[in-house]
Amino acid sequence: MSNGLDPALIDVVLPEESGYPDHLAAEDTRENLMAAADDAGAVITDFSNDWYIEPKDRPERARFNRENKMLAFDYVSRFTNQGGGSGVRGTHECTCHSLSRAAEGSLGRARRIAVGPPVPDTKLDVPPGAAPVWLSPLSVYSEANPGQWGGASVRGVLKIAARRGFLPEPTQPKDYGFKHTLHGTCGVGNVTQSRGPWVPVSRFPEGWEETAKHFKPLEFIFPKNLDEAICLILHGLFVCVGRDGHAIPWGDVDFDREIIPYLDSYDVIRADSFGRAKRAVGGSFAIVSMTTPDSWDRPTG
Amino acid sequence: MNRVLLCLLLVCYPAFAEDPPKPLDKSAVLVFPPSLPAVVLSPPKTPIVAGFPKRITVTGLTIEEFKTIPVLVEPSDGVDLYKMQGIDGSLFIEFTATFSGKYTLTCKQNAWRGAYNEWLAAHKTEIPADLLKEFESLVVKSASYPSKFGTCVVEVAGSVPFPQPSPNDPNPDQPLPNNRVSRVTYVWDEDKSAVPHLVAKALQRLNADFPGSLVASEFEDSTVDGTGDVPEQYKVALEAARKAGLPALVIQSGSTVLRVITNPKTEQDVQDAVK
Repeated sequence: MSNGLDPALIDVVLPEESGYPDHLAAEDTRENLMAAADDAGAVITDFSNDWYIEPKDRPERARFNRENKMLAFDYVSRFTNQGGGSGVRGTHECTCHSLSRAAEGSLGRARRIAVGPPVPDTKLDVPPGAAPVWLSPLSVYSEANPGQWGGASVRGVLKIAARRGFLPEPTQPKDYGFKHTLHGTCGVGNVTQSRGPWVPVSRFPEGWEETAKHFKPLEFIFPKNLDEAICLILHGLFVCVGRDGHAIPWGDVDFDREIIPYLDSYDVIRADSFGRAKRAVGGSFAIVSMTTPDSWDRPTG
Repeated sequence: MNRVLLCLLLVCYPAFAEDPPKPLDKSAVLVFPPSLPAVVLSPPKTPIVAGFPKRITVTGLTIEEFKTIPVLVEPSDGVDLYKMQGIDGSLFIEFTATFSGKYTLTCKQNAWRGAYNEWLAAHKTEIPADLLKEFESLVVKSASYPSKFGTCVVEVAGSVPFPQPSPNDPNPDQPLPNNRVSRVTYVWDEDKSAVPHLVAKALQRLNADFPGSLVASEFEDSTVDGTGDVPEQYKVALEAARKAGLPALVIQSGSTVLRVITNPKTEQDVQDAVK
């Protein structure tokens, strides 16, 4: 995915804050993230030997993933867009957009159906039997920051999602008939992401918890260093991380250019250099598994 | 709307007649896709008797997306609505529903209007004369997607059996002829291992090569559904895998376990298991 990636898209620092301010970032240590997951009742998976990929084998694994559509990117069918435009103000929802990629990716990876990679401004033609579920970042952010502006911590949004799950968006690749939905963002959204006004949790649809519980991260893994993060990415997991004012989900590794591409929540793929990634990895996580439905055609039963 | 109301009320007429009309022939029997689960309405619930529908009133949210005919309905002003389905599952669906609010009806498949007209033409002589005009005047309108809808499925009973699933039925949990493989599940324990990438590739390849007829996936041992239970679709595989020892590849034909391979590591392991 990074072949031909414009150098201007590497190590980008956004001109304005997208929702990951320094004071929240400072407390997003690995230990604090793990404590948050534990508090929420999630399982913390150890990075065992089985996850480890020898450095000499990693470039080949990255190629294998690209050839066989087994990148994290291949298990999601859309971008999200928290940004501004057309009279809409950009938002501070980045941690939740990043988290939602990891959640959707985890569901897709377990099903071993490559529905992606996503294409900006495009609703991919996915067979109904393979259709994913699109999860609302706003449904987590509304609780993470009731004041709407100022962003949220990685540990905060992780804990909320692990405790009670996401609401699905009203825009879906197929009609699931969900009883409760919430638009995905207060930002501009896109053809695959619904947008709308700010909604406090108190105004979520009545009974919303009964739907959200079906879209909950169950197990997390917290890489200790860039080595482990890269191995997780090579296993097809998104690794979510916040750095320099913005949170994103890493999803591929380019060893030739030593960059880690990610699906940015602005309808674009960007990348972090290994150097930047090494500084950021301390407060990162991957989702190993999500709640799984009795039937993929009826995700909420 | 009044014509529709009148038409539909009259269509309901047979439900109240002491002598129900002569049962329609098999092609007009009310059946639903076999894979449709039976769910109790709330309230009231009345079974549809195959041959001719009885009246069922559904209040509140509604409408299952049927596999062959996704139909979306918005609430209406207390108008009863019939939809009809032929036994081959390709025509239309019939039930009655009363909603509050305004609704219209649509069908994503293009067969609704044509199929209804064909059905009507074929069964004109069987429909009571005083109802025929109303049947002929039933109008199907297009609709917009009602975002607030949940699911409602009617409980169906009758003397005519449901058709058997075809070999290409997309429901992998139905019993299949000749032990055809319908599910391949790699069950693993995150405490012990990760999913081998060659096994993952093989599963993904199976899904790509057999879309709709085979479901190949991974299932982590402690994964649950939103209610905290083992997901129904994985119960059989999980039990078989735990018995054999994790990680394990469970091959199923419907809900029958054909074989279990412990600790598969390669594509070939998966391919050999599925043969």
